Amino acid sequence: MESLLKPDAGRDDIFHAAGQGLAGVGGDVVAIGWWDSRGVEGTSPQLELQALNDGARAQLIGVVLLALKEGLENIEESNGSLRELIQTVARVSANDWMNSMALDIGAKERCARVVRVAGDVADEKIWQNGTYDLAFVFDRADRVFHRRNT
Amino acid sequence: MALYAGVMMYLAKVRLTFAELHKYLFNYSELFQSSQNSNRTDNISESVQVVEKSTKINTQDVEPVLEFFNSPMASVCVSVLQDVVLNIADSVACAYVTCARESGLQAPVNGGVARTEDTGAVVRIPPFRDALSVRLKSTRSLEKFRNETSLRTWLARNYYDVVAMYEDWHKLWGMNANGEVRISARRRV
Repeated sequence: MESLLKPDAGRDDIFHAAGQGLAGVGGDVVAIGWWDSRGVEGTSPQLELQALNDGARAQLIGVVLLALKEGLENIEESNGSLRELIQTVARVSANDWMNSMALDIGAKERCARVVRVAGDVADEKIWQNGTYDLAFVFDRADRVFHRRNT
Repeated sequence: MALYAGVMMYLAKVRLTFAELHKYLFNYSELFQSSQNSNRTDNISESVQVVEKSTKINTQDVEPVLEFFNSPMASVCVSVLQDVVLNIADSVACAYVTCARESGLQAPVNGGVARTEDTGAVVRIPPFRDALSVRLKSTRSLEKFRNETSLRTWLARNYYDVVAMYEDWHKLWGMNANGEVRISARRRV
């Protein structure tokens, strides 16, 4: 009953499912290359995220999930701008992640640069080079969702 | 733009439904199990009445929730969220790897000791490359990694994305419980 009273209860569940991975989501596991201990030799990397070791990668994903959740809850602070929200989430995540990994000790200047660059890269990657097909699909999915609920 | 607007929409719309959902599904499954095991009731309408009585909520209100959960929308919502998270995490990683490569800044990337300006104390600076995979801590291997990633990104953007668009597929980045990156390819909804 308590969870029903919480206004963000559903959102918590979705974020939890996203963090743990949903069993219903199909897809092939991509073979990860020589830079990863679990990988298969000969394949090439697809994300720079794969440069991080397992612990750092898991930590970063957790930090991003948390920052995104908080960002969505307080989207009014970004004036409702998703573009601004994504940049802020990237910067906050970078800062929190480096602090949690103790990378900021003696490297404040470098960390400040990472924070600044992270926001710019997220903006470029997500907003300036977004895939047309993906945008179309979710625009369509959004309409289906609305039709079901009206 | 529509992608992230869609994410926002789903996260806003399913605010309450998922919590209710778990409860109702749990109640339904319990009812079905008990009805099968003891043969006390095999009438679905009786089950619905029991659910209504135990939860004090009209099942007509529950139907859209169950419909939503059984629809691809729920998994799409989680998949989109995973894709957004991984894209943001990748942006952070990209910024980190860029700065871990550069040695021109004041602090050494491989750590060491430094004297603080204010107190003059000597402090140990941990390697900034600590978060990198063990095999990527040398500058040469890191450069090779970035070159390969750039090539794959270019190919994906200029070839595979176009193919996916014409074949009615799209790819979402996902992750599993171990934090391993994977691609979930989905057909258009």
